Amino acid sequence: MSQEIFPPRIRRWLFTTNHKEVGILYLVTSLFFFIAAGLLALTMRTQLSVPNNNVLNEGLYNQFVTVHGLLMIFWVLSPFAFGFANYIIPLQIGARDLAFPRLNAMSYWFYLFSGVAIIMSFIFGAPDLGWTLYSPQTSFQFTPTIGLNVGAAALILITVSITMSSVNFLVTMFKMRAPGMKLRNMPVFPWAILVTIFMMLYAFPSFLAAVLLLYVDRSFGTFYFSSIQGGALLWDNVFWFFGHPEVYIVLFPAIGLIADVIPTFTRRPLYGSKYVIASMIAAAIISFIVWGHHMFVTGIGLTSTKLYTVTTIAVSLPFDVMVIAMIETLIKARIKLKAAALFALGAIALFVIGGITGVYLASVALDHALRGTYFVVAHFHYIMVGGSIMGLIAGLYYWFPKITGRMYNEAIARIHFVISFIGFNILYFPMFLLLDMPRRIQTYAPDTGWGSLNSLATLGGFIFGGAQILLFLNLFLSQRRGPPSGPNPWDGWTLEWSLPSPVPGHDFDTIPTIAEDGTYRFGNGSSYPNGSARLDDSKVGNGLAYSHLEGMSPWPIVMAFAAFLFFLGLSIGQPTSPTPVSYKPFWPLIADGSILGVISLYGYSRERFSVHEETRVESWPFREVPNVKLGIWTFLGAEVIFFGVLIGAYFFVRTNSATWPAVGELFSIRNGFAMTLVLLTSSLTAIMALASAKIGSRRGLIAGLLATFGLGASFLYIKATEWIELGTHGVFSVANGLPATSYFITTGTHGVHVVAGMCMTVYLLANTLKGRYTKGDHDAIEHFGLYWHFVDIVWVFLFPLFYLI
Amino acid sequence: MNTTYLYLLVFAILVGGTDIEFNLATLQATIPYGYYVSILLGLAGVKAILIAMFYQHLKYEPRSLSSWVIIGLVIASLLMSLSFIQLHGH
Repeated sequence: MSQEIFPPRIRRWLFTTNHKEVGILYLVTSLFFFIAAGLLALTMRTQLSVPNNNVLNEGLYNQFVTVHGLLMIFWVLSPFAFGFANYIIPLQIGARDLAFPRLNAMSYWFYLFSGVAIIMSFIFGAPDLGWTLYSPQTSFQFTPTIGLNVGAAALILITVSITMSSVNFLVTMFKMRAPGMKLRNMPVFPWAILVTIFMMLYAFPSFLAAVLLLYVDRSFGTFYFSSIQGGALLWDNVFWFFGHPEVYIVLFPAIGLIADVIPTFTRRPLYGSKYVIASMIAAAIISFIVWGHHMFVTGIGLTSTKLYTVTTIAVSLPFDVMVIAMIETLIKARIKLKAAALFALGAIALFVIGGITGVYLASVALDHALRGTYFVVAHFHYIMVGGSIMGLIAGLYYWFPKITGRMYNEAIARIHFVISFIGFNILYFPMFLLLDMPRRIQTYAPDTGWGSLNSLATLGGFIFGGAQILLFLNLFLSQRRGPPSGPNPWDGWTLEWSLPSPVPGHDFDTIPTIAEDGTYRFGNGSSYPNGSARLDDSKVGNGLAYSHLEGMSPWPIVMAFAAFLFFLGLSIGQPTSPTPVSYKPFWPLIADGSILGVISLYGYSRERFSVHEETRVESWPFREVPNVKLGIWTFLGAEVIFFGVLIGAYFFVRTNSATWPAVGELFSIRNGFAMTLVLLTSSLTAIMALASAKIGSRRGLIAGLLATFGLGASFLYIKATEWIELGTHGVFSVANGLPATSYFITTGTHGVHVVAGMCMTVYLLANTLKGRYTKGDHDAIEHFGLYWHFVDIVWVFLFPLFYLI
Repeated sequence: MNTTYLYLLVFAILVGGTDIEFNLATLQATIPYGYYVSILLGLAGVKAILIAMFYQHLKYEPRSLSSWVIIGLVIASLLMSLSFIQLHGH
């Protein structure tokens, strides 16, 4: 694809794979979505400012509430943080770039197009049931508009983006740290991102599985979540298994960022930084066993209730450690109250209020009383806006000079903080007092007594929202006209401050090296107190040059656009009947997306874009594992969760159903047996293909790949025959029952994986015919095998689950 | 052992295991259901471990990598186990 059709300045931003430019794209886009979500919130506040108001009708109000929540959580908070992570993390750990630059660009474009999709959903009647998308409200019976389909498609796309990003950052941080940058020497911000990615990697596949089931329910008429055999409870479980870690996913980057900002402006090392990191790890682990506290009123039983109460109170303890460490750092410190420090301090104060009010909700009795009220709204906004957004704005002021090379106006920035802090508390504190007002109501009667507090909150909303105009004006004008900042305006101690501002395209001229004891110092005489990672300028630049690639690729944006078209086509079709249970897809868009997807995959695979793997870097604990292999295994880890949730959902509805077809009644055991043998044999041929490649046997490699392809096709043939037979004989349709729903969705998802694997064999065969893979360059064959054997393992479980029990 | 023989041996065990599963279905009525399900899932687990160890070479990879995979399995198991506790409580 010719890149020359675009002027160079536009081409740079469309096709860049440089981590800093992708980081800037993330930051700018997330701020755009911040404005969009904020405007929705201000409109809602206007509606609620007085009783019996009618600025927004009920339907539109519900759409605004839902899209505001979805936008803020998925398209603002995490991407805002990952804008910094993209720009700063490689610099702070001394890496050349992210491990997979094109994948990084693709993550961004998937993010952007998913955001376009969620905003486009307004055209079709946006989702209107709250960001939690509870079942059975998501069924056609209660939500007949296709805006929810478009919204679900947007969620699928952004989850794909996040999974790609998680794999990329994990490999980068484990495998590409500068020599001497041991894990224990990493600053707190990279640690916070590392822990965040760990949670993302294991929480988001659960969400992807849940949204996929919802999407299939709505697009093909299955009814996992609308079934009376535990459908609603199933959604609650799967959603909140993701949802609670998600709270920490959006919070931890801000905490890590604050933990870097405070030491800089107090000139003191973070008190107990090792304990802060340990607390983050502890909170991340516990976060996976607290989700039931969102379900106290669903009747989950006494045992579960007690369990989740204990774990919820336990998860608050690591946060106590983090806050105490920051307060201890501040005691008797002579803090420079620059805007970044002010926002960091403000974020800590607001987070403490949000955290303490959250502990109330761990109590079952209080939760029963407060659930679904404005008390909860106040609590989580103190966490999400007070802790997270305020912390991220601290980062914006902190790293603005590094990113642009210019200083912002400090006086305006301080005024911005003061107005924001006051406005925030006028906005949200009254909501704690509205503890008898239900959330998500469009209006209320005058005799409820809620009017004055709502008016106050709305006033606060406009003060807080208006204050952000100062932020945008200040930064917009300063990046053009601000005075030069120099490389290190704050006397910061982390590695990014050793570079010029803005950072040159190639980052480091030479590979930085961190001293054995982790100390480093700057040439301007500033030094870092004991206990944290420092840079010794005598150690910076050991003469080893990084081979940085200024690569650009058009394929990430094309591939993301193709996926966008495909899912849009699937989502915006016509009802199949007047009382729809499903929709006919809009085939032209699907065809466009598919064709573009195939072209982009071809272009992507043909493009010369090599990424040199450094061997002289810190890579514990995966020293001997190549980057791509670690990336594939990490991706397969996410796949384990994805299929685990699909199989868990099957178990859930099955054990909740009073009746289920007997063994052999619906599914032919012989078919299942045959398919299992075929797939097992394909695993043998795949491993024999690798063995042939290793010994340089081109003929053996071709035979192995051809056999694998053929066996995959045979598997699909038997599967298709089974599907058609079940359908045409009227035994059941997907809408006929949970056995059919679970069977078609689970085996169908597995089948899509088989098709993907077969496409890979075609690609590998084409390259083999050109003479590749048999001269010691067989990595691609091995990587394909890892995926193919995983798909085989999944079937090893599906066979007994669907055919034998 | 020659790797080709090793792969063939693993394949033979996998096919044998599948054959046992298939034949077990005919004996379903004579085995308590709980045992029946446990045996089948146990066999599936053994087959999965064999594929991961020998075909995906996890046996020969650094322990850090296999631990990485196990973490994913533990989290997936956790979700299913706790959901079941809730289900029984419900």
